Amino acid sequence: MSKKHQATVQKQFTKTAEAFSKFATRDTPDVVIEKVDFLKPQPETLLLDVACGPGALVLAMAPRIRYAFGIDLTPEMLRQAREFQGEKQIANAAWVCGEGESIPYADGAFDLVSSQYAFHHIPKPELVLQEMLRVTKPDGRIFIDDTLGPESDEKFELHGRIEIIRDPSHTRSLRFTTFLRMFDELNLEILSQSFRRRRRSFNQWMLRAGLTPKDKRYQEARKLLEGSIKGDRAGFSAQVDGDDIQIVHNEGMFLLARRAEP
Amino acid sequence: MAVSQELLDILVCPLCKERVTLTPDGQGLKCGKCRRVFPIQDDIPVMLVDEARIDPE
Repeated sequence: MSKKHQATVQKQFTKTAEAFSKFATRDTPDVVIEKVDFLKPQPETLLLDVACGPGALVLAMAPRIRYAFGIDLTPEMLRQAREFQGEKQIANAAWVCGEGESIPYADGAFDLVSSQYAFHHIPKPELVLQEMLRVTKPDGRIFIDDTLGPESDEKFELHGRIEIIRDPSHTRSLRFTTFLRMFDELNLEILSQSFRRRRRSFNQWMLRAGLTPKDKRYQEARKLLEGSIKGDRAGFSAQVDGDDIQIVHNEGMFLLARRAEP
Repeated sequence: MAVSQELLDILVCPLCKERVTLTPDGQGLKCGKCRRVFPIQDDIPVMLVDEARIDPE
């Protein structure tokens, strides 16, 4: 990751750490539970969550496994994570500040390596996936969870513009077909997958990025979104709802393993 | 809360992928190969190459 983009990510997530962490760990326990169920944790599992943010998945998994580790680029997120760890009195979790493109862990150290909502911030996600694979045991698993970009080129472009206005550290939401190609190139097979349409309030979504209706970027994003409603030109399935707009993010979860040699 | 042994067992230099060891003052983690010392801030190892200093020996 370039230093410039690294700084953009750190700036964005330092600014929004508190709002973001409340959302990620407290407001959506159902989503975290869904992920833990999907991962079927085992008592001997060593987990690494890459770009762990305030540590929601690490802390939800830790009581069910041997040890859970979180790595993130933004120190403020990790301070939040450690605070939550203290509140929950979880002993078997640890945090490191580091980059997904050069993960500071030994080869094959983990049974399960996960990453959620991170790939859309990363200029070269294939490098991060490669590093995740390096630190995964030969018979280990990789878990990816992220928003999916529209398959149509026109929708993909407008979708990305709105996302980047809201959050300058956003690079692009990968399409489902892009994920499939990336998995294939690294010889990974999908063990299970799950998709969901996550409906959310535009105003809340903006607020989580630190933007209110007074902000220029809020106004710019809203104008583009409103203009996209007819024909769903940005792929957000947007619908006006009083002062607000309801939008939808398509998300995909993938559990992956190395493909067996023929 | 100090840096846990479980973490030290598997942590490596992000550049050389060599094991790192705790410095005598307990404030950093040193790579055995490139001699970079990564700081530990609030008990959290900062394993970013730009944040490391290189030890003369």
